Amino acid sequence: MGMLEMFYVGFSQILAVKPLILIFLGVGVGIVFGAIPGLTATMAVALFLPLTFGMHPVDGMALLIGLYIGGVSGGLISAILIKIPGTPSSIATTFDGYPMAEKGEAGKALGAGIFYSFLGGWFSFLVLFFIAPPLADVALRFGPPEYFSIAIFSLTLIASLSTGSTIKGLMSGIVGVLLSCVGTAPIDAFPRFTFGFYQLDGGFNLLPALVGLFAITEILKTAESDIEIKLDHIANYRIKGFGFSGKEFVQQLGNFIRSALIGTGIGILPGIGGGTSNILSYIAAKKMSKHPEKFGTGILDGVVASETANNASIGGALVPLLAMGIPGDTVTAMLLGGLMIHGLSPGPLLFTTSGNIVYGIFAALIVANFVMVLMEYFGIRFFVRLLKIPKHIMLPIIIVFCVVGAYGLNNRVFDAWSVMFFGVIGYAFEKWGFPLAPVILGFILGPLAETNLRRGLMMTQGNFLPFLTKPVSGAFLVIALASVVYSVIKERKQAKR
Amino acid sequence: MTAESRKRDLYLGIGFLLFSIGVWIASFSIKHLVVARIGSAFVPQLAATLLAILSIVLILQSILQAPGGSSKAEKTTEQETEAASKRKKRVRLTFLLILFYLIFLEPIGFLLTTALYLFFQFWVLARRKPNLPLYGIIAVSTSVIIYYLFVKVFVLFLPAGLLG
Repeated sequence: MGMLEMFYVGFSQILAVKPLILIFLGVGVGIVFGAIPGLTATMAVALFLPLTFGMHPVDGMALLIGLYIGGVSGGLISAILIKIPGTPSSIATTFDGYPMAEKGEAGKALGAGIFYSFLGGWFSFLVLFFIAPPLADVALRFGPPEYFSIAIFSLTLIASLSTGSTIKGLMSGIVGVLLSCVGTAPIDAFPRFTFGFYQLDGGFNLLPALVGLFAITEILKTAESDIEIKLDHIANYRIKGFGFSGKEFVQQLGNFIRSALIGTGIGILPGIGGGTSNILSYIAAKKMSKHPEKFGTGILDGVVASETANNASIGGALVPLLAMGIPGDTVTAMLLGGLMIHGLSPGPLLFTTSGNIVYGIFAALIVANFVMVLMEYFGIRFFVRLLKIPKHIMLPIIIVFCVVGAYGLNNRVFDAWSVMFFGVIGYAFEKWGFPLAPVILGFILGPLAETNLRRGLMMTQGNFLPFLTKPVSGAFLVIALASVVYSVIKERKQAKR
Repeated sequence: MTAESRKRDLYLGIGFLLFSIGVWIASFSIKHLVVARIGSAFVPQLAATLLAILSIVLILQSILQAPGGSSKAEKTTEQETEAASKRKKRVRLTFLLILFYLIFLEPIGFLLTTALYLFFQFWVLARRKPNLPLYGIIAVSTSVIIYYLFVKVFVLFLPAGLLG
């Protein structure tokens, strides 16, 4: 079937009452999670994941995609109005968004933020629609050596690109791999590191790991912080039109395209997403600008750069997930879990075996993007009011949801204990300056790398050389090594300065 | 890098080194079941080795790095230390509460344990004067709503316990 027919199939599944309600619900809740500092898109998807287990896969994905888009987009509200980024994806939005609000241009900043979030999303979806299917075709020809090397490449890349020291990033990734080793080993099914606990035979589940690392850690961090949101002096935020003129749109065109490219590119790279791209794109916009000194004083360029890039990372992050089964950021790691629970394994075969679901996801992205604009534009007053819900009431309720979700997985308290276990690891790692994203990537990619290494070595009678001499596999291993060496050198230079 | 964070990295390096040695020892009990060069012990052992090497690098880094800019940053006022100890207390109590919550979840049941957990957790996290009657009402109603929502609407099982 051609692409157009597949899109027809996708839309015919999404444009029904149930999936539409789920998208509206997802986007709405997502914006709330995005707008409230301390709650993130990752957390929203983690909490709602268990609810999708009983749904049809397309319905479940519609909900999760809604949460994803809403969660990334909602952060701009608090970034512009109270100078606290609602999610890491909107950090750079505060740089110029809040000064704009101080100048009395809150409406313009919000309008532009919403509009460029929408455009950035669209740009990345087009990239996704046109890149993922052919990439999946190429990936179909990959064997165990290629998959092993791509997994290693993804792991080293995320470890060296994540914030903080490269050494600690790599260590985080290895700890993730070791955590994934717990339970039945691939190939020969020997139970490893279970220490006599039969509950560990299946290993740790992905969901408790994600909820623990991202939700519990975030809650403990917030319990620790003293920051209270003051809402006394919110600027007048009436939006007229989208707040900016046609002339300004033309002026921002170059900025938009650059930011969208950065956002999509960062999204495609495994393990990093909107949290990184918004800052990189802001820095790029400032460097390329004719008036860099104006950045930070409240100009449109800053908001456009940040808000375009973070939404553009969404489509990018879905490219490796759908084409190769490798998550592009922490939210897509959870979408991976959401697909696997329905017995669907993301990867090149998904396009042939479950094309209807892939195109259902594509259609959900487009619809959710429109819903996001409508809701943020017309519901802004409602979302601002929600910022006033006290943290000490909200966070405990979220912990209860975490426990319920984990318990519901297998109806055993053991999984709730795993949530706590991963929460403690996450909190400790954050305190010690170890990044968390590599842990989860190691946890997901560890088994992928191990299975393909062992399978590959069986095919080659124990000879590792083909892993290096096969062009695709060898290239990824070389880039992996280069990325580590490069970031170590860069770090040493910075330390010397 | 401050003197404090260098010291922390030194201890972390030693800790992770010991951990990787532990993993290595534990991996001896993994049997080699297949006719292949590498068995199920290979990847854990490889990971443990890499972790050990990186830990040693971290230890060396923290020893060799020239101390700089530490003296002025470490002065803290009494007020700040008091706030810091309050923060630590909040985190510790939150840990304990979640621990108790999980221990009693199955024997006592979801409704009661959740209501109690929420009530005390609201209290622990409250920044200003706690409003206990309000916390009680929110705790009980949230617990009931979540229970019925999940059991009746989403058909998930939750431990019924005493009130089931």
